[in-house]
Parts: sequence; structure tokens; C-alpha cells
Amino acid sequence: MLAGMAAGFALRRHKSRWQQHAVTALIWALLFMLGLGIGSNDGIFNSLGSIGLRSAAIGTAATIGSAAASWLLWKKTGRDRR
Amino acid sequence: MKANAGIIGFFVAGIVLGRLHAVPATADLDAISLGVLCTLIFFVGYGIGNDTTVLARFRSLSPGLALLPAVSILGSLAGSLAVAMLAGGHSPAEWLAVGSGMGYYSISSVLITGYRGTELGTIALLSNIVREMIALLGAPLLVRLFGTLAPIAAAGATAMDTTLPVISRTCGPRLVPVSIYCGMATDFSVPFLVTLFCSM
Repeated sequence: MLAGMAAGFALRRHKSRWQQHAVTALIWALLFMLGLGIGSNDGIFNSLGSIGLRSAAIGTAATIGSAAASWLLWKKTGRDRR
Repeated sequence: MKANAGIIGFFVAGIVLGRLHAVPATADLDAISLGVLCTLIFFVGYGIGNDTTVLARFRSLSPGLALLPAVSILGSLAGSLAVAMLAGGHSPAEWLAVGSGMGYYSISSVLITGYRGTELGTIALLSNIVREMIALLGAPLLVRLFGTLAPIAAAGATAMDTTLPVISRTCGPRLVPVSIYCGMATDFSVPFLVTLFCSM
């Protein structure tokens, strides 16, 4: 990460979109391999229902946690009321 | 939407080919994934270092609203801890690693897969998709329940791109710079926090 940041800063005058395309391609490759890992593992594949429930629970709780915490900041700043 | 379709498409294609045993059992997927992951993290760092507007965006914010990313992250971690206490199944650090994905499902899921295996990586992927869906579809309700900053905090890392149009509509265009700043800051935090909690 730090090596990448240093390289990006050193080349900050050279703007291009290739970095974003590289990140997208690498993410797709990794998610494809994550899918391969799930599909070829009978134990995980057969427990996708339970995994889905846990995902919904943690996803909802983390999102509501963020929104609820922002209420405190909203009360404190409160100046952007429409 | 195109990027999201690509993410889901490659993920599902992987599952299908995995079920068909299309990849030789001798292939060392973990080693290949680790190499690709390191390259990915390098390029993510490159993008951060290459963006010279980051400092200017930080300077233009009021001190109160500058705290929004930290508040959003702390709220997510509190929610994750609540699930850890109620549900169990995984260690609190693992729940916190998943919760600190902040909607950045691609990076958080591949990092967690690398550190903690496929099952938790899948939970990270799906839970962050759930987060994005709530932020997209539930923004008006979040404003009513928790105030105008709630959709931005709930959106996490997606506040600067996929959920930005909805945020602009429900919170008002004045908060768009705050949303972009909050998205960037939480996006930046994800690789660090996920790695931190996975190493506990």
C-alpha cells in the first residue's frame, strides 16, 4: 500500500485511468477466485443459506450503527437543516 | 451499475465453475489469490497517492462534519460488536473485520478471504452488498429516523460514487461535498481496519 502511494505521489503529474481499470480487473479476478473457492467447497456451498443470514445480520447492524451514530453528530452540528 | 454487474457476474461464474470442478485440484488458488491481492493493494495505494485533490477536500470542510467518517466507522464497529455478542459463531475481531468493510465489498471480501478464509470472505461480500442496498433504498427512511447525515454515514465508502445520486436527492446538493469526502475517508480506512482486525 505504502509503496503504491509513494509511486502514485511520484507520478502525480501523469494522470490516467489505467490504474482504475487495473484495480477493477484485479477485483474481478479475485472475486472470480472467491467464487471458485465457494463452488469447489461442498461444506461452504451447502451452508450458503446460513451465510446469507449472517451476512444480512452484520450488514444491517453495521449500517444502522453508522446511521444512528451520525444522529449524534447531526444533533451537535445541526446547521444543515432544510 | 456496470462495475456491480461485473462483480456479481465474476463471483457467480466462479461458483458455477467451482461446482463443475473446472479448475484442476492441483491449482494453488490461495497462492495465486495472494499474488493478485498484493498487486491490487499496490494499485489502490497508487490511486490514493496520485490524487492531489485529497488535501484540498479536507481543508474545505467544517470541523464538525469532518468527523463524519470517524463517526460512521465507529457506529459500524458498535453495530458489529452487538452482532458479535448476540450471534456468536465468529470471534468479535472477525465480526469487526466484516463490519469495517464499510460497503467497500470488493476489497474487504478479498482481504478477509486471504486472511480468514472463504466463508468469512463471502459474508463480507454479501453483508457489504446489503449495506449498499439499505443506503440506496432506505435513504429517505434513514433521514426520518436519524437525521440528514444518516444516508451518508450508512453509505460508507459508497457515499462518493454509487449512492451519491440518492444522497444528493435525499440530503440535498449542499451535502454532496461532505458525502464525497466521507466516502473517500471511509474507503481509505477499509484496507487498514480490515487488516488490523484480521490480524487480532
